[in-house]
Amino acid sequence: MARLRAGSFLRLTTPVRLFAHRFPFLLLVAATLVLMVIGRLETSFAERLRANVTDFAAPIVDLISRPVVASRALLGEISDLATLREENQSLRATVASLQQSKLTAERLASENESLRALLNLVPDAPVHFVAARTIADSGNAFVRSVLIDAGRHEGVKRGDPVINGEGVVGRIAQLGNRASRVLLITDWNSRIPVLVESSREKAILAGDNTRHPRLRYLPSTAAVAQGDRIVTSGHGGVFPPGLPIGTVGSVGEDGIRIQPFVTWNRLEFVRIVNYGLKGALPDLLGDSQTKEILRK
Amino acid sequence: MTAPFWYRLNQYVRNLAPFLSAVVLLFLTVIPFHVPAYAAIVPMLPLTAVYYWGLYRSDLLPAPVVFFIGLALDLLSGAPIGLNAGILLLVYGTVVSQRRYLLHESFSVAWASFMVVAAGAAILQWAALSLLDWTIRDPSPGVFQYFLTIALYPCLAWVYARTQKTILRQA
Repeated sequence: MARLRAGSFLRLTTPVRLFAHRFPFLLLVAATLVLMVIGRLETSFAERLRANVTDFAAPIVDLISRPVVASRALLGEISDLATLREENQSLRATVASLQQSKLTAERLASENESLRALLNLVPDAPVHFVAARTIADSGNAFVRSVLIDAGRHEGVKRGDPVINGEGVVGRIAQLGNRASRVLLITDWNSRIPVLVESSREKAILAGDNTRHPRLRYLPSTAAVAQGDRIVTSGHGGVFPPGLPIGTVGSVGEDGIRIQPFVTWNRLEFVRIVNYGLKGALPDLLGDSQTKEILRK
Repeated sequence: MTAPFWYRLNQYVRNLAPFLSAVVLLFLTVIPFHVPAYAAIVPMLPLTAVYYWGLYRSDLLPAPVVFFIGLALDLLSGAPIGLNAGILLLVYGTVVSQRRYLLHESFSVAWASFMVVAAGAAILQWAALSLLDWTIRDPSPGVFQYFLTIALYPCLAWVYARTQKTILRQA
């Protein structure tokens, strides 16, 4: 008799026991939903958390990525040996033409300065660069960003533009102490005010996670042809004006697609642009870090 | 009694293998390999670890660990916080609840059910991102990612199986 009652009691409590067994799991799932909502609404908390974890993981990822980069470099060297002679010849020709361009550029720069002085134009703010290395890609098909090993300690600020030798790479989206995340111009969330260099028409470069971001909000009367250079316009005060972004790749039904100058799979060394502080401020602030930044 | 201590330490370190495999895959996901468009189609590697270990040794990869791996992946990859954590947890829950049917099946069956589970995870990722941005996003990066993930599963499953036979079986 007692045994029968025990059996039926167990059968009654089984659903409750199953729920209690699964409760921690359901709690965790609920926690992820809460985190997603909080991350969307209260972005400062999410940013701080992300910055802290990135700071912690950055040295580790950097260390792990070095062998990969080194072996890739080695393979590159081996394949380069094959084309050494032709490359040398073409490089010599490029150097010669670049020296010519350098002379022209210097002449134009001094002419520019004297003309600006003549017109009493306000001089551009002094610009400083911080060099950094990319240590991690975004590991996600839907997010286009890279991690670099420069952060607050190096003088980087949120929103600073990031460029490399070829053109504009993106902007600093998240800032940590030792590392920060760069939102590339091809990312879904990237919007950059640009100019078509030849016609000076203003537009917005909108990324959409493909390798060819789109040019939007161009006036319908504007004439844009394939091969036109696109540069930053400097509107909004984020990017210095005149930085090269890319050329018009195709003009078609799905909009105007830009071919960026930057080769994304060879993105290793970048420079973060930050505007220098105006003359009087360093004395007021007087801290050594600012002096260090300004001395560069 | 030093012998049991070293024995227990040995066991403990061996039992960390599933967790460590997931952590290694986590780092492999974010390291820049400088392959053209790698970042666009990087497969969901930690998903394979969660699926395999959740199926065969869920005692060594409990739910809170899966949650933290997903969270770390979110924080390192730039995805919205909680996205991969939730997806990995749901995959883990699905797999653990279906262990009864899948545990003693052949590899092909396990792979086929991984394809189904990974499809669910990919759709969930795309839907969650579209919902968070409140726009319908282009799913094609996710599609490439999905096919690469299911293609890589056999190699990774082989590695996990070897780990199970060598590191975890020795007692």
